Amino acid sequence: MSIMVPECRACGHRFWYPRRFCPVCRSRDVGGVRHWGHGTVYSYTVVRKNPAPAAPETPYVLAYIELQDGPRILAVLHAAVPGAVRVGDPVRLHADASALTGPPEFAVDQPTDQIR
Amino acid sequence: VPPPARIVGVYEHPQRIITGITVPELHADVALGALADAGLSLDDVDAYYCAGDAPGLGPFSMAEYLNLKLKVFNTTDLGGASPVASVGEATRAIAAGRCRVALITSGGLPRQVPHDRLSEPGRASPAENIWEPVAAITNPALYALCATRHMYEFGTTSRDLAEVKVASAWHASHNPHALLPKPVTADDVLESPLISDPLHRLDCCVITDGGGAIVVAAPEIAVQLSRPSVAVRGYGVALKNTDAGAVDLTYTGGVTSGQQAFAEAALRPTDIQYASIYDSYTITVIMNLESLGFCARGQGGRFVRDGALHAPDGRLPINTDGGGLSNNHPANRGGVTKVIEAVRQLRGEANEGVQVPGCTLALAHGAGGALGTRMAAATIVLERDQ
Repeated sequence: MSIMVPECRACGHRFWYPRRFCPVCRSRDVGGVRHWGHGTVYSYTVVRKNPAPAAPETPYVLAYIELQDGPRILAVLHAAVPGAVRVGDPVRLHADASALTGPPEFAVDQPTDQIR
Repeated sequence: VPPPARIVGVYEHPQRIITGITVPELHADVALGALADAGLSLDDVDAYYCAGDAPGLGPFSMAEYLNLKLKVFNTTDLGGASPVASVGEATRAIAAGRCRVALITSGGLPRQVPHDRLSEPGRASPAENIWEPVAAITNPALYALCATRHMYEFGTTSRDLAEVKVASAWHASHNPHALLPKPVTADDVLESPLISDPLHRLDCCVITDGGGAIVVAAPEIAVQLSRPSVAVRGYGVALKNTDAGAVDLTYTGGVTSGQQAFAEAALRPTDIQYASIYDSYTITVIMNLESLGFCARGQGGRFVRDGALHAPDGRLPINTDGGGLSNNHPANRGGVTKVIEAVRQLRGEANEGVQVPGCTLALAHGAGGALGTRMAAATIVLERDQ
């Protein structure tokens, strides 16, 4: 599994979310770098109420994931025990995002994240 | 430098649940209320400011409904920051000689009519909607993300957050119009259900119908009026966002808007005797206290302990009307109430028991959008005319 992270060919900046130009150096020469999707939790919340019809089943975790050498991404974080997630926890991709067609999802990267 | 424009009239709709009225009628009611407070009429108005909560597109419908003859109009929508920014923008337009009497209205009926502009047909979808998990994002979640990070970096606790609600509820108990007039304890907050960890239900603001209006006038008009006027000494406005993938959840746009406002006023945070601080959530207050310079970065949780926010004797009394957390958050955007309560304090017209004695310098801070993603911040520094 991997995620295609937008990267500026001119200045090397990796950014989020994808754009057709570099939001930092303004170059229009942007590409993507294949990233294995490993990162850590920058911040998280356990959403316990969400009345929206299309919402995931509560409780679930919404988090900012900091990719290794990459940007911070707001994403759903799959966790066996939502209340056990902590800042700094290692995460991996939940599903392949190499085609990058929508929001990536991540999962807590430990065999039994319920043990604390 | 010309003398600054004055806030000469304010009005807050007294009700929190309103039936039998339309949104245009509500905006008109608060407009007439603020003009009556000032001793002016709609015929005196030559500038009008509203935002996305106003009915229809931009200024068109309300300007027609009120039959205003306008030289200046502005409908920049900064969410809850809009009315605060409008005071600042009106002050600049008046200083530039473009107009003399500006009317600002804000209000809505979210308990009667769902406020859901984003679903309006024909409205373009924002770019981020493709890349953010829209269905999984709630408004409380975007503030909870900030709270989690703040706790991680600075050791802020849920009990610190609760202190903000305790102060607001105590202030609301002095306000006969407050939606939630009962005092609460920190334990009450901590025992209320988690909505989006670490935010409990009582960390979240109320949903209310209602609104308010503000009248800003040139100084030569203000001196002819009988009500006490308030000088707009400083103004700042700023945007903050996810910074292309480098989002920092530990500060707000108030860093920039506050610096601008204090610089223009040639004052410091320690000069301020009363502050209206946007309080969509308890964490909103703690982070804005830091960002505006009332305490150091990361010290907001410690700052609010020991009744620091309680009027009249706390180190920095805030939101003495009960704020958005306990009193009023009309149209899901509470900026107008922030200006109104600051003006009440400076006029000496706050509710009995929460009036800050000798209040001459105050601040009002509004925030719009979401602290965890894209937001606006607007700050004004106000001084009572002698």
